Amino acid sequence: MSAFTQEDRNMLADSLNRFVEEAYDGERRFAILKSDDGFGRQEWATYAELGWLGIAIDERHGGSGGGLAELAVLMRAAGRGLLMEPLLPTLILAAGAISQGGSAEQKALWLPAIAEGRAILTLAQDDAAQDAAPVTATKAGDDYILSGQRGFVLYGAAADRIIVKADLAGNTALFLVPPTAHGVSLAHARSIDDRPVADLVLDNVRVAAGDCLPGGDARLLESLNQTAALAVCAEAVGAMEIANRLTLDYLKTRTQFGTTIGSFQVPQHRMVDMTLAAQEAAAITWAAIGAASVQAPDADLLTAAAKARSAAAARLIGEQAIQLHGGIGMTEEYVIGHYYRRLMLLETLFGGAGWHLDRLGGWTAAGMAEGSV
Amino acid sequence: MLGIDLMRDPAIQAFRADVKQFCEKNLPRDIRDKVLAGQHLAKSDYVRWQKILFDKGWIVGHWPRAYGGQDWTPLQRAIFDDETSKAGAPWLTPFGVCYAGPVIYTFGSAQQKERYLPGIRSTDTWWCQGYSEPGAGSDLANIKTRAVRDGDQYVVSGQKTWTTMAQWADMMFALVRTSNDGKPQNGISFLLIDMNSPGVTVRPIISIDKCHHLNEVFLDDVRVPVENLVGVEGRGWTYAKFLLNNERLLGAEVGKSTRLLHQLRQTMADIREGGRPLTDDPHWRRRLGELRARLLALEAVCNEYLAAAEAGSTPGLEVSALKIMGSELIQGITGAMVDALAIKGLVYQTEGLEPGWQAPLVGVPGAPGMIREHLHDRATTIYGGANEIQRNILAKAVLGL
Repeated sequence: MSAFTQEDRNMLADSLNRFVEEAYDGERRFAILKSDDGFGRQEWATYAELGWLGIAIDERHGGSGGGLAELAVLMRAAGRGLLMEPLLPTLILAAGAISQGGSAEQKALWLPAIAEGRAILTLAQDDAAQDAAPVTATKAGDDYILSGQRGFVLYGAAADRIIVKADLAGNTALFLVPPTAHGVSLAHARSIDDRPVADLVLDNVRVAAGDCLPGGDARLLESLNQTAALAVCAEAVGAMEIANRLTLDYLKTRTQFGTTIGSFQVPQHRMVDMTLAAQEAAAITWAAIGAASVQAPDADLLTAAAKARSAAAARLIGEQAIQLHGGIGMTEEYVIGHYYRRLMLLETLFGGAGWHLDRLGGWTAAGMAEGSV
Repeated sequence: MLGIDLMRDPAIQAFRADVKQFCEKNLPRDIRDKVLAGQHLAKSDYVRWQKILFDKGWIVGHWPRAYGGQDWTPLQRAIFDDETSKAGAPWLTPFGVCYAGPVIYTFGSAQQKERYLPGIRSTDTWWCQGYSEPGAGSDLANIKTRAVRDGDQYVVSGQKTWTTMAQWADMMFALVRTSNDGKPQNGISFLLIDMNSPGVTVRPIISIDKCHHLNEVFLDDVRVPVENLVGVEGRGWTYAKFLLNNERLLGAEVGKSTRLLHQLRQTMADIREGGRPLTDDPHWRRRLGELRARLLALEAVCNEYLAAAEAGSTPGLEVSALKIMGSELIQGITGAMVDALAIKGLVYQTEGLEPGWQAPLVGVPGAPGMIREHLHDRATTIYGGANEIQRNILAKAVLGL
């Protein structure tokens, strides 16, 4: 159970929103986008100072003992402010993997470092481009040898360790790999929402036995990805709230034909649909997070529904926010397009709508009783 | 408290289990079978079920104890609605217990309460709603039916339309115009009209499902005693809006959608194409998944509203949001049924809607009921304020546009 009360979460949300509004304004964000790192090192230090990086880390390892519900509060704010920092890979994926599947030594080493802002970690689990071989691991004495490729490694360039998913004799295994190790190469780029992302190539990389996560199996990865899907839903809720707010403001201020464009019925109804979509996505996201937090039997069902509805809402809101803004919405200088691109990424991360709908449809076809998944 | 946490509350779950168990035990099988098959129900079927609920004290569970209710919270009421719908209970006709009753006990005179509430509770009096007119649909304030005071009577003249189940009604609660001064809303009064009065004529309207639920009601110099005016003359619009607010959390019809989705799933399992059931077809699975996702999301939205209501908040615009989402989902599900039935199901053999009809069916078993549901439910986005009007309301009241 989480050490946080609802009141704690509300206070956390207030301080996060205050930070986003006051310290992470457009000017600062554009400076961050232009920087080499592609995220704010100074902001990362601030997050550590304010205790945000440790909210879901165990108290024994320097965190404050929260869980998914608290991470969701953080991710919603990240969506509102389009934060560029590596919260998702470090706090949800890497810290999650180590907390649930790491050895005592790994936990003691990495979890406090994450909470204090001293370490950035990421996870490499996606296949690289077509025909590239995924990573395989073979045992070599006490060590392992890793070879192969992974794609879409978020913040790979900045990571102190990359947790690499590998096939070890037919089973899934996770290894902590330093990007500086011999045989590791990274090809850097930016994602559609301007985040640093990399392709990873491992060529006979030697990894010590102590850097294999003892509990890093397929089951762990699946539960991690479910959690991450919900974190992404929460981030999308935040991004949709602001995209809608900006669009509504625009409808109220932009004048054409001698009146505000919001006085016309077509934009009015469109805006209502966008509002309802955001409301629906938020409700199912919090419901799924509530279920996942107590490991309720319908958690998987609600998670699939949350990701699918959130993706549908993100598509509608992202596209129509641009449409209703007209020409200004097409400019890189104005932020609404940045919300669109963030939403495009969130829609796809950890399973797009189709993937989740297929799961949900399969469970439903097999029977509809609650939790019968 | 989050909606989902509230739903997992043991007391709430116990109440849900109570309602479910009661339906399993007490809902007459013949009535349930007709509902699940989408067949015609007789007035006596509705009355029989409502009297069973009356005996249990649940028919007016949402009324205050002082008037024979149980003081249910909006949450309890929603659960009751949900579980009875899922169980295959008939539509709980709302005209008496949800509309006329609450207006009478809130705004009516002592004499009106004494005279009408018992018959509403027991369903011994059947009510209908006289709101819409040929010239007043979405623009309800434009009603023209006039009530002119003549001594201790009103003389009522005009025409009401889309009057559901008026053919069975003993009483009508009607919006009538008592004045043409000022804003149109201000001249409207709330009148209780005995359907057996001279001058009342009911004519059926057959809807596109080829069924008779709807009627036109002609009022020709109908004499209504002044004591049948509810509340204050000219305040009828306020009472009608109060009603709407009273009903605000039920518009989503989650229970009905759940039942229909079950039926869709079963239909998909029964219909084979290319040697396999539709439930094994990837396209159909995804479509089923999409509808399930929308239902789960709608339920989550309702739960959030119910949690807010439990916490004592009284926001008022849920009705529009829930009505839009709920009605469009129902149409999504019944539309999928029609697509699943395809050409074999589009034999609309209306004889199959008659209970006990024995001759062989042409086409897919159960299809007539599903087609009827689909055709009937085209009305869900029209009645109670068309969805376009609901969007206008939200744009103005929530978005400030």
